Amino acid sequence: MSIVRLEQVIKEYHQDSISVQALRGIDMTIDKGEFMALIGPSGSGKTTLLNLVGGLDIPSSGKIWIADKEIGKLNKRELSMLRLWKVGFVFQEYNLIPVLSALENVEYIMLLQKIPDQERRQRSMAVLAEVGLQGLEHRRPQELSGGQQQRVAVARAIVSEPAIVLADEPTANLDSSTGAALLDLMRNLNERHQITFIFSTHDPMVMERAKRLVQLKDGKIVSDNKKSG
Amino acid sequence: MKLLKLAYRNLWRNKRRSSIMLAAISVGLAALIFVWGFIDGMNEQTIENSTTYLTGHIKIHKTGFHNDKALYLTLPQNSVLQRRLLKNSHVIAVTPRIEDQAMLSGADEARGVKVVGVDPQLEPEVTTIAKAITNGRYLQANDTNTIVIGDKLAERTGLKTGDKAVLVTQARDGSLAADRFKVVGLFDSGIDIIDASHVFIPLPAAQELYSLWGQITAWVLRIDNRQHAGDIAQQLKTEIGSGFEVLGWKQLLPEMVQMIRFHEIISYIVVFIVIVIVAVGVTNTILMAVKERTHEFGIMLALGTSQNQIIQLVLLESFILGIIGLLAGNLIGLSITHYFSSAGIDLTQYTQAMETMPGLTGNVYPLIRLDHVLLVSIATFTISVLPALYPAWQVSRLQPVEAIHGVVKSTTHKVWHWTKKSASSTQLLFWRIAFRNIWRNPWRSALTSGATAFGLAAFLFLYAFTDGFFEQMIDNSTDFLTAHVQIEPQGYRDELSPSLYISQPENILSKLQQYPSMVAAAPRIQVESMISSPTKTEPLILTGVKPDMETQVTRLHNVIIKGEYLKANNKSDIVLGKKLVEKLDLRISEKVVVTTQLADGSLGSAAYRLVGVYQTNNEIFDRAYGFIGLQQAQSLLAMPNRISTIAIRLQKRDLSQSTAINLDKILAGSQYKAKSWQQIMPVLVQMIDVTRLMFFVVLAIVFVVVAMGVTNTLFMSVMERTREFGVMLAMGTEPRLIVRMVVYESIVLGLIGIVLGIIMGWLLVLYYSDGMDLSGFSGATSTIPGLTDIIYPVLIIDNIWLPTLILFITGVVAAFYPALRGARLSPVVAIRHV
Ligand SMILES: Nc1ncnc2c1ncn2[C@@H]1O[C@H](COP(=O)(O)OP(=O)(O)O)[C@@H](O)[C@H]1O
Ligand SMILES: [Mg+2]
Repeated sequence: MSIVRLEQVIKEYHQDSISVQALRGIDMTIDKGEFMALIGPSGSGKTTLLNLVGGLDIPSSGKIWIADKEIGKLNKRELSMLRLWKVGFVFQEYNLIPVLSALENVEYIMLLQKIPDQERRQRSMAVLAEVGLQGLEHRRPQELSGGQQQRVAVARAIVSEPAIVLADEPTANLDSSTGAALLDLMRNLNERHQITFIFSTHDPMVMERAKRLVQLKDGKIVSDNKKSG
Repeated sequence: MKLLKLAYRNLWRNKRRSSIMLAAISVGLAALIFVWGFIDGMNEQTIENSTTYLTGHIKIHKTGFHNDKALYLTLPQNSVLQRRLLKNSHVIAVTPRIEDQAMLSGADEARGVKVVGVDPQLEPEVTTIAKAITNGRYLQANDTNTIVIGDKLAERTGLKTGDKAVLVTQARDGSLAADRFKVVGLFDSGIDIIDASHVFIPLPAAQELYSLWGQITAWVLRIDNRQHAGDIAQQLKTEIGSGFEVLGWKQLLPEMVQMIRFHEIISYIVVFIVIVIVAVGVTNTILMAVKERTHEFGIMLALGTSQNQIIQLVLLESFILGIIGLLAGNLIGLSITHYFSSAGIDLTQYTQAMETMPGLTGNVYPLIRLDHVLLVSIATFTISVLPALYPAWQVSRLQPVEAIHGVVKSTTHKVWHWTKKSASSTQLLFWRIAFRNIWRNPWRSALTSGATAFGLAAFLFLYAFTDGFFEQMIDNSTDFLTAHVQIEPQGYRDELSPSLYISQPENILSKLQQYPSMVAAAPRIQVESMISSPTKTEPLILTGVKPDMETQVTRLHNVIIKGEYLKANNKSDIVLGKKLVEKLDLRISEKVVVTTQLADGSLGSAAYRLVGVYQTNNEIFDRAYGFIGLQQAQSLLAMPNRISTIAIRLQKRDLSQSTAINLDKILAGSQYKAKSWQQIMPVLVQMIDVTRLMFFVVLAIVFVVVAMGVTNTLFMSVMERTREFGVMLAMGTEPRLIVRMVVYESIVLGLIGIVLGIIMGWLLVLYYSDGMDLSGFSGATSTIPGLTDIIYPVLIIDNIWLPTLILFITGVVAAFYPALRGARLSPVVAIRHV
């Protein structure tokens, strides 16, 4: 069952009369429950692809379906709603709203979703416990370490059970053991809850743990390998 | 040079921030230039008109005349002194004068006037009243008994050109003197005081009238430059020897000088308010600009740029902005001021109030004074560069590694956990976010709400001050003199004439008894007259009262400082104000003679004994009024059983207008009218309006500057949080929620500012609740009817809630621009932004 489908996707950026083709014709299908990594050198188009898949941006040409909706046909508000309900994001750094505590950051999404107080509270606490942050719920981001902050970001991304979670170089700013722990956590979540994860990474550790590796170069897919098991 | 280029490019790089800062500097500066130009123009016009129409630049009297005005202090009219004066190269023209008081009787009215005896040929070389003739002609060389009078005076006395008028006065020897004059011309200088109370006659006729043959009271001079009047007067004094007093216009018009000083103080206050607010805006912007570039400075340091060079760069950037702001502000301010300096600002709606300030007319022509422009320019420039010093110094202490690593950690302040309860709605959460964001950069928030608070507090205080001013004016006027409502014959107010009277006061008085909100009513007679002591004569508004009834209505009897108030059955007693008693040089129980014109046009006079002296501390009250028994007034004026007005005291002053309307209904059909204090003192009402108008100008400026400050702060805080907004948008936060969040922040900031402002303003008012002593400007304030030297500021909620609310709304509306900027961010771009 495919959850994301891309068809001949091209993305062009225009800046000061120069145009850059960040993606040059991508065809790809991602199924529910995948644990997939996008790899490739800097500037190859990983972030651009993730942004499109997350509905943060729309392609210049070609079509993208996320959970059976073609995003090219959605207006801004609908895109916003799509992201709210279907997509979770983890970025490289500064993921959290600095004035909100860990718990409030996690609850934020469910507040937008208007989930009742008690359920929201329970689920947030549960997810924070699941990512190993029990007892740190009321800390503000600046009172947490980098790895803890990324865990909060992961908790926030998965708490409302989205169709896909997108993580753009989530471990880039972490030391390797912290990075490994974060990845194990995500892998764990992927297996237990069947949440679809898509990463971009340079990190060999991530590649090792991914079940599917898609390699980009100059905006094109040069290889796509699924590991068995 | 390289640094200059770098600074320049940095400013270009962030056009929006640079333009916010430019706008703050240039709008502030332009506003300052204009406001000051307006006030300078007003002052200049006052001086110019007063000196050129009437006073001249310098006057020479016999020593002592200026303070005493006694007719034995005269100078011989010989040409020796005149020639000696003209020898001074600064002196352009010299003319002789006799100046004194008299009563002018027309066909039906009499008025106290200032008589100016002039040489018809020399006078126009010194002053310009001859050019203001609107009807008939000016005096001519061989005129004998001719007179020119102001149009206002003509209106009040019913005189026209060609009519005969009589001047009655006390001559040098103390005897009563009178002479007939033919009105040959009317003038209109546009200055109330001159047009309503000055008459010009040929010098020989004046010498005849006052028995001053061969004598004058003053030489009046025009000089090449009015600014130097003081110095030139000093020179002349040594040149002409002793026995003379040589006075520049500043000494001749001390009240005007004080009023101008008063205006100047108000200008300085406005300048101060605007400068503080602009400074805050600029400081915010620069602090932010530096913080945002920490990383960049780190790299520059790492590449071997010296710390001094970085300081120079930051300073250079604000220097460039300062210069551009300076030029733009001057350009805008000067062009606006210049435009209005020839077009004039039409305040004719408030003519009457403006004209109570001597020399002012309904049109104000702003004046560009280079020294003031220079002063505000320097001040603005300084405050736009100075704030850069602190961040520049901070930058220079950066460690390259830390700096490159990113933002200087804001770990300096503790995180406060007010509550661990989570918000139950996005609404609540966004309020929480707003509060915490404001706390996140406490300095910046403090500066912004501080500026709002400061602007508001200053405004409130100024407002309270003027409200105190007006309350006092109204209170004193109604308490001592006009009462709350008066019933009088139609048209009486403009004429104060015995030919307009109420014939059966008992009928009206008994009708009034039933009126519920009335406390007391008292019959009165009021006429213009002249009062003479053995040596002096002064104009007087003679008021006949029934002491037992009058004391129920007004409270003059409470401010008797010598002797006592009128007794119920006195024979021929009079009570006068302190100033008048001083002028007439009188003591208790001395005799005075009051002369007035009767309804049939003939003159009547009677002698009275001074029994009491009152002091209200208001110049006009203490100088212009005198009180005798009603019966005495009736017999002097040959109008038994008649009165001019009925003065009424109500339970509350606020009821005046509605009561006047109701009483008018009761009086319908008669030729009597009820007038509220507002109608009795229209000048007072207009003066209040003018001041309000000025306040609206100040308010508008404060608003613009506050709005810019708030926009500025929020804009910076939005830009600072670009990435954060990107994350929020990515997670599916709708743009309108982002708008809401920023607007909430402005509401919190605005509320803090306003609450602080109200508290500060209120404390200031409280501090001065025992009164602000303005006796330094006594001449200026106590000449305003009803006002004394001590002002008690009051906060009148009715007057301040609206400006406060508008200020708040201005701040919130100003937030929408940065809020929309935040909401329109593309999440992709925003997340890339670090
Ligand atoms: N918002 C943008 N505007 C202009 N060019 C962009 C933008 N985002 C990405 N690019 C360009 O597109 C190409 C791909 O970038 P990106 O997807 O960020 O690569 P990666 O994440 O693999 O490093 C690069 O050449 C980059 O410069
Ligand atoms: Mg990338």
